[in-house]
Amino acid sequence: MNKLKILILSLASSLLVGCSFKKNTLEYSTVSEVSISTETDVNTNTIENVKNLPVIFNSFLDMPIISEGVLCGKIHVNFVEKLGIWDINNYQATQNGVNYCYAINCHIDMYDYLQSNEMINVTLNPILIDYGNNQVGSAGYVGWSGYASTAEVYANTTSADFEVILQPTTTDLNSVQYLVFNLADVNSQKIFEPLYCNLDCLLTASDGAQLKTIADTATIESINGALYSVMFHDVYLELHNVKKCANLSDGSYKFYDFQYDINYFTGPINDRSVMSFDSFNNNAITSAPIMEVYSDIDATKLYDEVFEAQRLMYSNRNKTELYVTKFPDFLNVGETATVSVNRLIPNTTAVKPTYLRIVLKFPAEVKARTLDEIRNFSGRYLVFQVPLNTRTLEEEPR
Amino acid sequence: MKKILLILMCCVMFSGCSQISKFSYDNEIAILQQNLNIHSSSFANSVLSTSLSDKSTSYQKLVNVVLQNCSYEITYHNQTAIKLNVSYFNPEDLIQLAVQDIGGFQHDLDNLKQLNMSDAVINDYICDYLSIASLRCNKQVRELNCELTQCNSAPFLILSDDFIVNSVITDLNSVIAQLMNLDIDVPLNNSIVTRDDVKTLELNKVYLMNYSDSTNVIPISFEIKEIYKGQDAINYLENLSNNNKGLVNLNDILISYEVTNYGDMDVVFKNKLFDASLDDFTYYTYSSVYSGICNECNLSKGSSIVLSVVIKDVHNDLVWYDADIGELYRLNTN
Repeated sequence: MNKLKILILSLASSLLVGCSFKKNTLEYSTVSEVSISTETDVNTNTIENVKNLPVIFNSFLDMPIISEGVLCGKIHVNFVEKLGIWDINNYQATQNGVNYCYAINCHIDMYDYLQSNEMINVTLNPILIDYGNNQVGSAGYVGWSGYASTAEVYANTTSADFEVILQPTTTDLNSVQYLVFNLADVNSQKIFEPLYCNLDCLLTASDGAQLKTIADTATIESINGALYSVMFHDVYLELHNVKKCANLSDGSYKFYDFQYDINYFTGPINDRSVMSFDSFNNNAITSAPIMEVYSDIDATKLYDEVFEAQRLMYSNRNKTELYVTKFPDFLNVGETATVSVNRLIPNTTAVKPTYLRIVLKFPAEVKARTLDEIRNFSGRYLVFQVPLNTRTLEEEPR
Repeated sequence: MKKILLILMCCVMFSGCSQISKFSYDNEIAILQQNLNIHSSSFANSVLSTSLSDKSTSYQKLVNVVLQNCSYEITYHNQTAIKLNVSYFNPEDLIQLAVQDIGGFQHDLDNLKQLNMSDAVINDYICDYLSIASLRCNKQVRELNCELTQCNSAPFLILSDDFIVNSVITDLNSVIAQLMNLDIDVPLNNSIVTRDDVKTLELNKVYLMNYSDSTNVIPISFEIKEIYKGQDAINYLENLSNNNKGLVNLNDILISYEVTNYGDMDVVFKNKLFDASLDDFTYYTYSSVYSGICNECNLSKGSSIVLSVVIKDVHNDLVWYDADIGELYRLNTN
């Protein structure tokens, strides 16, 4: 048995040796028939094993942005975070149990293109390609990063940082061959050459934000040192009557109703100015974070309250009340604001969702922070996933 | 005499007592962890040999290499139950290492497949490769549970090595299976590559290419900046140095091109533009040397360089051909 193995191995070795020997002889054999006008020595070689391998970049290093043979700029990855949040509207990812995504933060410089152009708005669509050349990941959306999602750059500001979400549709990163950056300028319909990258930036991703549930309280630390928390109560889907208002005529409409608490623990401890704090009024908080709502069956982002909506008060009577409340003008240190809000459910929501996602956005913090400081902001990707509940009405007291 | 005997007996008894008093559960756990990490015998039973009995020598060697390089940390212990953090190769890293080794692993695997070698031979090649690669990639921690034979007296031994052997074998089998099924970019046979299949490089256009310095492959951008032909080339070269007078002839073409190294290492960049005939897929190299012209240079990572080279245009085509990675382009010099 051993002898047989040795025989097979020897045969294999000699075959391999033969193969490499063949290659060498082909590459370096000399042909004397070639007529050259000088007395220079000439070697004749065979062109063989022609391949079309993609050019693979390390995405942490500068990669050229090329369109139709013209260098337009460069891009590299600043950092990647693996978020414990997934794109709930990506059916394949949800079906495959992928409960994370990657936030890819990039720096782009379109200096070369902007030497002869006024501006450009570059979008990045990252995709993952597996060994069978199937797409196993695409751009997604989970929440607010604090960074722009596209790179809008001008002749006088040629560079920008921006961040996109890559949503894998497989949990098996071993099956992934490339991360591909597809760059385009939507306005001019210009498409740049795809950039094939190795997976280093994904494999070394640091842990980022995790999805919050209704049981969680998020603590926000402003750049001025102030501390406050945000928590949500139950979310209901209800049919409400609306008296004619700016955007709606009289009638019944479906709403998501929800309530949140903002608890202002401690005030600012430094001089950094943040617009949502009023330094003339004991640093009171003057506005709540922007709340964006979408559901597991409809990615339409909902922002606006309908104050005119009226909800039932009791189970045994048709008595209704206006229930939407405004965030207080001034929320002082030590106080808690409880705010009831709603979102009109759009026609695009065909069936009742199971979960709502509430995304918090803090534009005032972004204005007050440097690009580096945004990365560490606790409000990045602050996403609550809340199941829809049913409100229990009681009978009107006699 | 009796007194001496009595004293001796007392000494023996005391030394026994001191040995008993030295036993400490925590101490023994620490010793066990130490023994595991120096790969001293720490298992009461071993399933390793039976698990590998029907496997090839290469596979057995691979498993042994991995086991010999595992590191251990006891993270939890309660009586005979312990939890171990066992660190060995990260499968994702290991696969990436092989996949990115285009000139080595991919090339060899490609050869084996083209020679129609049996799966067993390919499997052994992969095992041999992984034996080395597994030591070069990052480690990953696995949390594994196991039991001690006893916890009341020294030395502590783990009941069996089955949990670690099974874990290593499972991970290795997964890596080997993925590398066996790796979709190698199948080289095109020259017989089916035609002149039209070869991509063309145009003047003043930037192209992305792979460049091999025979050990590493790096991404580069490549742009032909200028082409001087015939008398223009002669004038250019003769103006460059009097030494070139009489050496340059009308077949010589001077090509200036810009290369940018987008890789993560410095390389010695060598010119790979050649006189060629794509009718019979042949390229030609000449020994001509011109003063002021250099066919190679150091190219640091992230930097660009403009290189001017002289090519003899004797045959029908001029090509950029990187033999190490089979990258071929035709130059449009019109």
